[in-house]
Amino acid sequence: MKKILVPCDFSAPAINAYRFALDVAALSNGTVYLLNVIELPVIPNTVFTPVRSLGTALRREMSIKAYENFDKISIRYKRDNVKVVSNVEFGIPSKTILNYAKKHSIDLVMMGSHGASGLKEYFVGSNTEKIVRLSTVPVMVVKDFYMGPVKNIVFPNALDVENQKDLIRKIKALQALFKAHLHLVWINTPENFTSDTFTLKRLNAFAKRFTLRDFTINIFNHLSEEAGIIRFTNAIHADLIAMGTHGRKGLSHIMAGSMTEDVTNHGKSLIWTCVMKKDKKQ
Amino acid sequence: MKKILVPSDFSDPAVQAFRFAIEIANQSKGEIILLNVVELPVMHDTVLMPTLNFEMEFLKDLKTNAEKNFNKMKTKWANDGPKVSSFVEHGPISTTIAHFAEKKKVDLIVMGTKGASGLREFFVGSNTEKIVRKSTVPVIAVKKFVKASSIKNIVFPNTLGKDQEDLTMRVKALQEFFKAKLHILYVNTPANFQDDISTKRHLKEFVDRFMIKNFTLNVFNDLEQESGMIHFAHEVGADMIAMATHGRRGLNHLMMGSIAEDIVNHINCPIWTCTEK
Repeated sequence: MKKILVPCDFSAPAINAYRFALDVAALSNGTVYLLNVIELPVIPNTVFTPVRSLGTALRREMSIKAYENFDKISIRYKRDNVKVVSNVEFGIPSKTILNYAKKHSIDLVMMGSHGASGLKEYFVGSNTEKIVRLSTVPVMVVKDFYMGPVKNIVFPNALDVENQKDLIRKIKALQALFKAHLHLVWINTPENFTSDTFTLKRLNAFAKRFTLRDFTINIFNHLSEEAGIIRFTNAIHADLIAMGTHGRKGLSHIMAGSMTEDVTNHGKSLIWTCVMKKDKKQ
Repeated sequence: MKKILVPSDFSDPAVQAFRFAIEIANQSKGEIILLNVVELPVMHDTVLMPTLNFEMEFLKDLKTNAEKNFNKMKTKWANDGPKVSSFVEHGPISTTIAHFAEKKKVDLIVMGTKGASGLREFFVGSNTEKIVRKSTVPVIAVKKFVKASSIKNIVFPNTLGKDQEDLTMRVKALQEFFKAKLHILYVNTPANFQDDISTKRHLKEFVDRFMIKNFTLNVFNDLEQESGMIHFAHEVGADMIAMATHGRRGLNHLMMGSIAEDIVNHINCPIWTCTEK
């Protein structure tokens, strides 16, 4: 977590994300990359509305404004020993952010989110949702300003041991960085119901297989997995939810939904997500 | 638990039950009534089959034998213990026991059970199962003798429904008698699914309502109520299970099953049951 990218539109959630990024960078001796992406309106070329592209002057003006804002926030919020690099780019936000992350070998993206509600999240998706789904590196979502240390991490899990090696490695690193307790939890639902005897065996085997340390094992019953994760996290007053996402792309997301994104939009605490990579064949 | 009926066929489980009943009677300063029921192999007193003479002789022999066995038991186990009286009756076993219990106004029945397994338990049922279902007073089913003082953890499975006053007060009294910890258990199943937040709230309301002390609250997931209770009891190291039985009668039971009776057949610690009123 040495190169942290914070996409920033200067909104309150973005500033919160930036402030937390500073905390994490301080712990890891890392650098924070602030990125403001200015979205250019695209007007299709039709008989009635000939293309009007933004002039270079306008672009320059917007750039200057952005850098001014960057100065303001880095004066207001800074940390000794943490280097901050600021940049402005033009383009489609999610694409630009992801390209930037690749180009600069970013290892963690930290974003603010208002949380979406209602139908909007099904048709537009929030930018945060898109990044969560498409990023090749872990993404942390910060909603409100996060004050205290991260002492308790909830790790909801489906208990497969397949394709989890990479995810577990990253979560263990996360746990080590914050020196936190890990709370492994199985959310038991009517659709996905297993008896406690079975679940406990699986959870214990899972913990053993991946040599987890400083952890607790939990079973929580709820009507849906997503709501269960959030309720459980609140019940034990945990600070962060760490979960794998399958990175489903495109329309299938709108139809099938994706739990990680839903949790991101509805949870209150910090959420760390990571696209699960297939285990390498030995 | 002052007047305890102990039906006995002189088998080993029946002796275990007798010894356990002595433990209770000693503590409650109560008395024990031993009962042996002779079930005659043939129907009698019908037009087609009038009572045969040799049956009466047979019956008399059985009764004398029974008295002898009772005396042996009393001498061996109850010498310096509670008051023990013994009786021999004849008739269909479970019905006779149930009627006798009512006649003598007992307040507890303690019975031995081997536990049945396999198909037999679905078609025939054990006598203990039948008594568990028919009795109007609580029944404790005993597989092997344990000291009353060893009963320190009682599991109380509960569906957290209404109309539990009578049952809960009795279980509370049981808990106080043994000075044990009460582990209140809600078994969560796919068919009857409840989320943890609701369940925990109901459990808390339950203990508050009945002012229960020295307890733990538990939720256990399993595919069925029955297996959930059994697994949980093993896990927590239960010394006794206290549960309600619906007292369903007749064929109904064979079709729908009854949890208490099945439990009686699969658990090793004493099981206290009471029909829900």
